[in-house]
Amino acid sequence: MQRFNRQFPQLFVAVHTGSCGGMANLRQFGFWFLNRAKFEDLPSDRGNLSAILLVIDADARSAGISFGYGLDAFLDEEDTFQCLARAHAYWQEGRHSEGLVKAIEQLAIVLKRRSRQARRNPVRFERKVARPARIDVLAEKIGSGRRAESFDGPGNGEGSP
Amino acid sequence: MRRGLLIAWFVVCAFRASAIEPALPSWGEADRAAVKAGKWVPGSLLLTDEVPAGEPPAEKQEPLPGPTAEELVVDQTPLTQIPESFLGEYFNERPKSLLIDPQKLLSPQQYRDRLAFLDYHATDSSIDLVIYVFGMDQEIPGEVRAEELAERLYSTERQAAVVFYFLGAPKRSVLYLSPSLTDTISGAEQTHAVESSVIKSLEKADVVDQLEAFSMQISTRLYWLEQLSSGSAIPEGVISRNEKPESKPMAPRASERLNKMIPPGWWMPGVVLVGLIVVALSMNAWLRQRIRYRFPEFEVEPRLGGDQGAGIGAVISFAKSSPPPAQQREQVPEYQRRS
Repeated sequence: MQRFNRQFPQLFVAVHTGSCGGMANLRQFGFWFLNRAKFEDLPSDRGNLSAILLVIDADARSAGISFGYGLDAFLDEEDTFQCLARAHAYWQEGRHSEGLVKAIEQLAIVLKRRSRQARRNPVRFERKVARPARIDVLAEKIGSGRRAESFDGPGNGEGSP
Repeated sequence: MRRGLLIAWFVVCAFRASAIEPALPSWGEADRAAVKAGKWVPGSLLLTDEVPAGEPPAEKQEPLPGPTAEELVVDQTPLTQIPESFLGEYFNERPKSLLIDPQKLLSPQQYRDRLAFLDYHATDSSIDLVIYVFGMDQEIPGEVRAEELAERLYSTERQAAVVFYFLGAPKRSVLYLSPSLTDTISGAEQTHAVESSVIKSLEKADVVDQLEAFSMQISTRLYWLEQLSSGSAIPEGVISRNEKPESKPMAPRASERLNKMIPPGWWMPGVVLVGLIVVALSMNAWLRQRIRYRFPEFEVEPRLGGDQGAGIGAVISFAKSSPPPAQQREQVPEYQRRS
């Protein structure tokens, strides 16, 4: 984990092991934990936007990954599934720490690739998280465009009926 | 009917006789009194060397005479004659092949293997190695003079070393050389060659393996004898009488192999090149160690009321080996998953 933090200074990995407090759905727990938890060994002003949370429920024998908005453009469900699948065999044998290392290694591989791609073509990733255009803004733009056409219309006195 | 009854009666009597047990020994009154008085210990005859009364003293056996020195050296097995039908193939003319075995003492495969070796020796040496194979207890007829045979058959064409080999008795093997070789190679050298070959062959238990070892060793010795006849100096270790069995040539060391692979003048550039490669790899590893990966920051609209994140990643179950991770790729409820 320290090597991960060294290679990705903007990001950090957090691991939660244990039961999920009665919450049946691991995704819900990960979402709640990521948005509510404050990690002690991090500066208080640094939020969890660039966090990657690994939740391992040893009782239910399941694991999940949640990540902050800072990685929304760079990670998807397929990537996180690959990380968990890499560790599946180790966790099944009860070797949780080794599985955790394998999952983080796979995560590092994915993030390195995405970092290089983002450096070459950041627009491609920006489009993934760009806000959809508002309808009123679009209408305003269309209206201003038409008004510009009517002033420079085709011929004097001739106008549309 | 009567005969059958008679036989049955005899059989029954025999069984009854075998079933009757002999009478048990019983103590005599005098013996019982002697034992009780301690004058006699039962079984004392077995525990002492005393000769019981009434028995004649044991005769001392003289030690058997041991074998004489001649008996130890010379095999006392009676020898047999070679069948006359084979004498012509053996001794009439110079044989076409280098291995002469008209009695078929070797199997066809063994014959081919040995002949292949002798042919290989002939391609590598100017002295042919000709082996006549006889049985271990056979003797050469008196009218066949081996020296005359070598002069008659092997004075022309290629030089030859003729071996009369007795299969199973390599000690009886004899070496004869072509007349042109006898002038240059002394009898002592010939004897040394045969002795070392016999020593090699006696290391093997199988008679055919003995022949193989003998032929290989004498082939080696012939090489040195050939060097001797050409006037080359032979290392002392090879011609010494008490030479140890030749060990297998050691594989060249790694440094020697390396010296052979790389020409002498290429050592310095090679070392420099290897050093550069090592330095480059080290630099690469160091740079990789220091590399940092960064991501551009984008403004993301919050979702689901989450301030920090709403990235829904995958969930995987590792409770059982089934379903495997590949089947968990589609994140569906359990009841929708096919069993």
